[in-house]
Amino acid sequence: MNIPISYQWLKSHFEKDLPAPGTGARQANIPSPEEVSALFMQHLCEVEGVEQRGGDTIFDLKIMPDRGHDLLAHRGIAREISVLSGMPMKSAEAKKKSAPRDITTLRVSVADMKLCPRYMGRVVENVKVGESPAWLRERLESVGGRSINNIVDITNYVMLELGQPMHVFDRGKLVREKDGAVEIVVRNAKQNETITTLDGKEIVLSPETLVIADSARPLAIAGIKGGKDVGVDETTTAIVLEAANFSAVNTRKTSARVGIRTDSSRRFEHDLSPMLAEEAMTLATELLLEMCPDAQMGKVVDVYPLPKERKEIIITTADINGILGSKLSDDEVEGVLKRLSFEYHKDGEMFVVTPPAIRLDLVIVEDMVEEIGRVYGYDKIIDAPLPALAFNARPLKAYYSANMIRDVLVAQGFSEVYTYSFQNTGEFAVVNPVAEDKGFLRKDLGTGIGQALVLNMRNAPLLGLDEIKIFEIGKVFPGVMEEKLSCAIGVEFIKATKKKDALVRTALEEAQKVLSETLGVPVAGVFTGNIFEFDLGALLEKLPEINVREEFHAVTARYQKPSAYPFVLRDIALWVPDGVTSDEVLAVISADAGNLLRTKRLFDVFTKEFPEGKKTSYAFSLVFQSNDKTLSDDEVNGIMERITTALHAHTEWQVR
Amino acid sequence: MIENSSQNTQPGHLHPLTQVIREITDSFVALGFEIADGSEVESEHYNFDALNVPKDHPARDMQDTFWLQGNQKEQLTSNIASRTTDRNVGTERSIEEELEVSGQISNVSGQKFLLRTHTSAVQIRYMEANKPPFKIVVPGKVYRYEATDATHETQFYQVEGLVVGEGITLAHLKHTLTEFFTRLYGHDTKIRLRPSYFPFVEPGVEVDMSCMKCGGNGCSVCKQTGFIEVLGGGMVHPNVLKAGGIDPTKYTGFAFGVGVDRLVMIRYGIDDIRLLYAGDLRLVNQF
Repeated sequence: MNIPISYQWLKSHFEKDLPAPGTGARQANIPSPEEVSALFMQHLCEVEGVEQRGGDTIFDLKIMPDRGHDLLAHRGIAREISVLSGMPMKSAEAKKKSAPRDITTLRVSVADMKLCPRYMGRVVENVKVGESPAWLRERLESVGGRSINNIVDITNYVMLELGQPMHVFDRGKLVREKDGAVEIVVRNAKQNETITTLDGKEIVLSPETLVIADSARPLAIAGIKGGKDVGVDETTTAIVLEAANFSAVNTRKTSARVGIRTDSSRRFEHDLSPMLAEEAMTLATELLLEMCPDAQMGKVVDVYPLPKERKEIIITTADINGILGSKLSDDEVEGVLKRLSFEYHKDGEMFVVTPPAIRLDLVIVEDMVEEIGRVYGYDKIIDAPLPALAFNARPLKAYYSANMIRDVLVAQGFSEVYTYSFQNTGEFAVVNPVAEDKGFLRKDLGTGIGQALVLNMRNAPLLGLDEIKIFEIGKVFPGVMEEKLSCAIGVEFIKATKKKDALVRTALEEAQKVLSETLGVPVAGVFTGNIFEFDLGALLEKLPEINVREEFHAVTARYQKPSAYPFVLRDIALWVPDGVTSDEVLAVISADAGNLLRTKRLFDVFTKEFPEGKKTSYAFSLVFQSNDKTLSDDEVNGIMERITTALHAHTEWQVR
Repeated sequence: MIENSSQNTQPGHLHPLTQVIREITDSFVALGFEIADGSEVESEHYNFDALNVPKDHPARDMQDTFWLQGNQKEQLTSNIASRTTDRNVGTERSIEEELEVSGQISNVSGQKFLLRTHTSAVQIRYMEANKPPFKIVVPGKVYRYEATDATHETQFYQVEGLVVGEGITLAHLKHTLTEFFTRLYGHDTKIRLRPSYFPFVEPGVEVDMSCMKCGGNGCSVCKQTGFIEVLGGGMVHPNVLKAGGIDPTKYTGFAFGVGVDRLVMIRYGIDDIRLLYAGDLRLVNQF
């Protein structure tokens, strides 16, 4: 998942103008945006964009799913800068604390701790909803957010800072129990319960959906979206803050089912450490006190029945070198662990590492190898040739036979095409097609070859062809759960004559004959009009094992993009004295035709005795086309006049 | 400009994808690799589960999938058609989930079937049938449920490589790929590894090669970086070896996958992937 990250925000995690390590005099600072980009590309993740916005630089970082636990937040990214550059992060400032007061009682009950491993709630009274301070608005806006009010902004800020989504309810809109307490229940929805989300969408809930409720109704779809009628607005004076941990799988499924995906649900889908809820509650409380100094804090209610234990990973330098092929020393490994600020101790050869709670991606030895390897730098690994393996590669008949067939057909004048596997009819259907007319897997290749024949017939003059001869080799799907390798050959002639059908059939049969001869087994298939298709998979079974052939080298072609505009076809014929070759004539034509002449082709030659001597008649077909526009008749006439004039410059040449 | 004489039969042309797939595959054969293949219709097990891509995990979003239908096609089509225009987030999963519930996804002996999203699906099948050590190369067609445009197609080609043996390391992957790209693009070709993530490898890397157009000085093809991202790879995850019946405490391995279409496009300057599948000789006959 991609996230926008503000350079200025990252910078706030570091001391300003730190003295550079080792020197008292020079002032150092965190790496420049360019240096940050380079460090991340080399050691962390792809930087897909870097944009200047105001006085800030915004990075578009592609965070891979394994780092969603810690890197979908500014603090996690800042920590990486510290690890990779060696700049220490600012230690947490002592913030104003407020002793919890005895205000409205909050009771929380969680029905299923698998779906909600931790729920922290806190009532805050005497809050004043208003505009956020400038720094907060700027932070949110720098990464594409929108300021709503100070309370909501705090929860959004905490999420973008720590990666922990939070939620806030207006206490005044919640049901009060007989003793005046607010009761929060984390439970599955009842059949057909409904909720209207903050954006005004009414959702009918099903029992698989986890909700946050009071004793009367659902207040939020857990971890995904809050309900509209309990949201904070300008009249709000007391709130319930929520910092909870929800099951990744359940959040993902629910989000798909209800069709709502939010910044919150995306983060929970990546599985978050329950530790984060605690940090989020602390940070949100501090910010609230900063903005509403008179706010009264209730006690934090923390339902966390089974605290997650941090697990050790035992790793040796030999493990690391054995996977990376590197030559790290114990000291170097230890150096990287220190840069990472990971808790560890040495036990003989072994490093016993306890990764930070937030790093749920670090579980097995290989995970730690990657962590150490990427920080150390893959560029420092010196490549090594593969050791000799006791392995004899066998030739794959299907591969070599298919290529042999390709080569035979190409030698016969056939060109290879690739068409689509998806069609609007067939036997084997796709559950989620990209378009209505692509709902099935192709049952044959002939259909696609037929369409390709029609397309290429239209372009035959441009291609300089009298006949279109094509083939395709590929998988077809003739029934549900059926797949086989097929080959189809198609032929079409440009000139419509009475004999055309017979000629097509003859050409196809000729190809069939040559294939049978080359392969040494009869190639049996189905003729349908101008297409011959055969079951290549079945044919392969009958073929003997094939010797590996020579290594193939692709051509180095200079490719020119086909024009999107129509082409114009003109013929020109002329008499020239006997002995003048067609190439000489073509050279004159080309020289004056300009770059709009795409194809030129001699299509007729004959000689005749004249009183003044023997003459040859050449007839050429010329195809004109522009890459930029549709050519008009006038333009092409102009070119033809220039060509005629040039030809007539040879006094004995005469355009007919 | 095309010059042609109608008099003689000219040889036809091999599709550029075929040419480059053959070149890549044959290069690995020359390095002692065996060619393996597999089917395009694959089970969820071989395409995802056995490759350490857990269900209901964000890693599944990296490869949007075409699911295949069982025998109840009539009742389904209209239901799906209405959803295909709505490519909002989560749509694919909700279809999957819906259909799983109603039993409409092709389901044979408890397995769901799909169009393979990568040639990596062949990894486990080969491991199950063969004992290490081995080195294989797997060219093949793969599918992704994507909105198509000039650089995205629903079908494209990959070549997968897999080496498993004792003492195989990331340094061997680096060497093998350098050797391969040198064969293909000449002796000045350099590669670099960057950290990345694919669930079936650990560590996982993205591999860049020095730009074949400018040789690393920076040009429009490499967006002035001097490098082009050409493939993903890494050390085979122990869970994948285990799923293939191979003891990960004894053997290690590396795997990689190259997207062929992109290589073809960069090499020949083809700006629209869809042209490769249009059956159009205006493209093919230039090769």
